[in-house]
Amino acid sequence: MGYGWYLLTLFGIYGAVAVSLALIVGDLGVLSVAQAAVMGTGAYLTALAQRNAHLPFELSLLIGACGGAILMLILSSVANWLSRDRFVLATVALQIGFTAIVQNLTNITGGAAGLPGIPGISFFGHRLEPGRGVALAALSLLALSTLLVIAMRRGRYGYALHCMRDAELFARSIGLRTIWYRALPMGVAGMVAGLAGGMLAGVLMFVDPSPYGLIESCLFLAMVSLGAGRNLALALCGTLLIVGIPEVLRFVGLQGALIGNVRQVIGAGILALAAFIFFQFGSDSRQRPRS
Amino acid sequence: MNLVFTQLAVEGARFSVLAMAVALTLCLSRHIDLTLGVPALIGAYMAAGAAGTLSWQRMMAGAVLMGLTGLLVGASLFRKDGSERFSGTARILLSLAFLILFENVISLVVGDEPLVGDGVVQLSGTIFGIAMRRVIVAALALVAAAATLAIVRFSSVGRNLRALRTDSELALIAGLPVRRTAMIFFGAAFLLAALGGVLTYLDTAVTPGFAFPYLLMAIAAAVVGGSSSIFGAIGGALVVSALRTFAIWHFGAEWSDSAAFFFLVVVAIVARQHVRVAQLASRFYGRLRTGGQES
Repeated sequence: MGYGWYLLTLFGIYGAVAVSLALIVGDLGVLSVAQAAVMGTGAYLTALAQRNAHLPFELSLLIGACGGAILMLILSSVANWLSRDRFVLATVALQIGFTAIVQNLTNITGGAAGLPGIPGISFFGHRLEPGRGVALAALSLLALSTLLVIAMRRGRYGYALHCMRDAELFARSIGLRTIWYRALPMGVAGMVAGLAGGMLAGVLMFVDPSPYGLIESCLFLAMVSLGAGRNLALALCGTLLIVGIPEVLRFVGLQGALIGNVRQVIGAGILALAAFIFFQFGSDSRQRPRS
Repeated sequence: MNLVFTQLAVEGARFSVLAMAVALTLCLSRHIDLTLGVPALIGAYMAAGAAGTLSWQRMMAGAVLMGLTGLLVGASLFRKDGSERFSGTARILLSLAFLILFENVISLVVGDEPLVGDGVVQLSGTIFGIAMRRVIVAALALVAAAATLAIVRFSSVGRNLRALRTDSELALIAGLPVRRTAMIFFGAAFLLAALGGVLTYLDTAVTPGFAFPYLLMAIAAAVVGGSSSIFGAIGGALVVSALRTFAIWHFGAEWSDSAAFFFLVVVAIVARQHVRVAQLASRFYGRLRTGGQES
C-alpha cells in the first residue's frame, strides 16, 4: 500500500469517528470519552465474524456497526439518568470496562497480543486493492457520515436537538421526548464509529487493544473539540493535525515512542485551546450575582 | 486473610487522600476537575527522583511547590467577584489537557520505566508482619485525613467552605470571600494530591501514566461518598478499595478497575433517583398540608 494512500485511509477512518463524535459533543452537548471503545467494538466484532464465523466482509461490517450502535444506545439510556459531569464518568467506565474485556478475554479477543490473520476488505466478492481502493472506501465512509450528520442537523429534528442541548428542561416542557431525541444521534454515532472500527480492522488485517484505549478516546475528543463539535470542517482539521503532524515528524527523524508523545501533546494543546475559545462560557457555568 | 485486610486498608488509605482532595474541589464547584492528577504525578516523581530513590527533602519541596501551584489554580478558576471563570465542559477539557501534557513531559524527561517503592532502603523492615513502608502510607494518610477534617470543621476558612458547599449562590450574595477560600482549598487539594502520589510510589510503583487511573478511582470514591463530603470521600475510598480487593480476590487483578467503575455508575444512577424520590415525597407532603392545592 502506498504511504500517501495509507495516510488518506487513516484520515478517512479517524475523520468518520470524529464526525460521529461531533454529533454527540456538538448536538447533544455532552462529552464522551468512550468513542475509541465503540470503534473497538466494531473492529473486534467485524474481525471475529470474518475470522471465526467466516462471514463475508460486508456482513461482518454490518455486525460491527450494529455492535457499536447497541453500545451507544446503552450509553444513551444511562445518559438519561445522569448529569453531564457524571455522564463523562460513565463513558470513562465504559472505556475502562472495554479495555479490561479485550485484554483479558484472551480466548476470544487474543488479549494484548491481538487477533492476526483477518482477511482484507472485499465487497460482494470483489477484493479492494490495498492502496487506492481501500483509501477511497475510507473516504466514502467519511463523506457518508458527514452527509448523515449534516442531514440530522437540519430541519425540525436539528432544532429539537439544539433546543435539548441548550435547555433540556424547556425542551421537555414543550413536549419533546428527550429520551428518543437523544437515542437516535447516539445510535447513529455508534454505528458510524463501529463501521470505522471494522474498516480499520480490515485495513490493518489485525486487531489489538492499543488503538482503542482511553488516550485514543481523549484524542478523538481533542479532534472534535476544535470547533466545539458544531463545526465539522474544524473537526476534520483537528483530525488532520492529530493524524498528520506525527507522520510529518517521522520524516524529521523522530523515533516511534517520541512520536506517540508528540501526538498526545498536540492533542492536549488542541483541548486546551478549545477549552479557552469554544467552551469557556458554557451554559453550566455559575453566573455572576446581579447587583 | 490478613494480607487481604492489609491490602484493603493501605489501598483505601491511598485512595482516600486523593478522594479528599477531589471532595474539597467539589465543595467549591460542582464540576469535576482532572487537574489533581498533575500534583499527584509531580509529587510522586519529585519524591522518587529520576533514579527512583526516595528523598524526603525533594518530597517536601514537591509538596510546597504543588501547594503554591494550587493557590494559583484556585485564583485562576475564580474571578474576584467569586463567580467561576470556566464552564464545566471547559474545566474538564482544560484539566484533561494539562494531565495529558504533564504525563508526556514526565515520560520524555524521566522515561516510561516504572519507579518501584519496594526498593526504598530507608523504609525496610516490618511492624506486626506488615511492611514498614505500608505502615507509613497508612499513617501519613491518617494524619492527612485528621488535618483536613480539623481544618474544614474548626477553622474560619473551613466554615466558609461549608457555606459554599451548602449554597454557593447564597454564599456569593452574602459576600463570603469565595476566591480566597478557593485559593486556600485548591492549595490544600493540590497538597493532598501530591501526598497521594507519594503514597502511591511508596505502596506500589509509578509510571508517567499512573495518575489518570488513580485520579479516576479517587473521583469514583468521592462520588460514591456523596461528592462534597470529606467523611464521605474517606468512606467512598474504603468502599472502592473493598470492591477492588473483592474483584482481585474473586475474578483477578485485571477486573478490579472495571468493578469499581461499574459500581460508580450504579451509585450515580441510584443517587439521582433518590433525589427524585425525595422531591416527589416533599411535593406529596406539601399537597397534604395545603389540602391538595399546590403551595
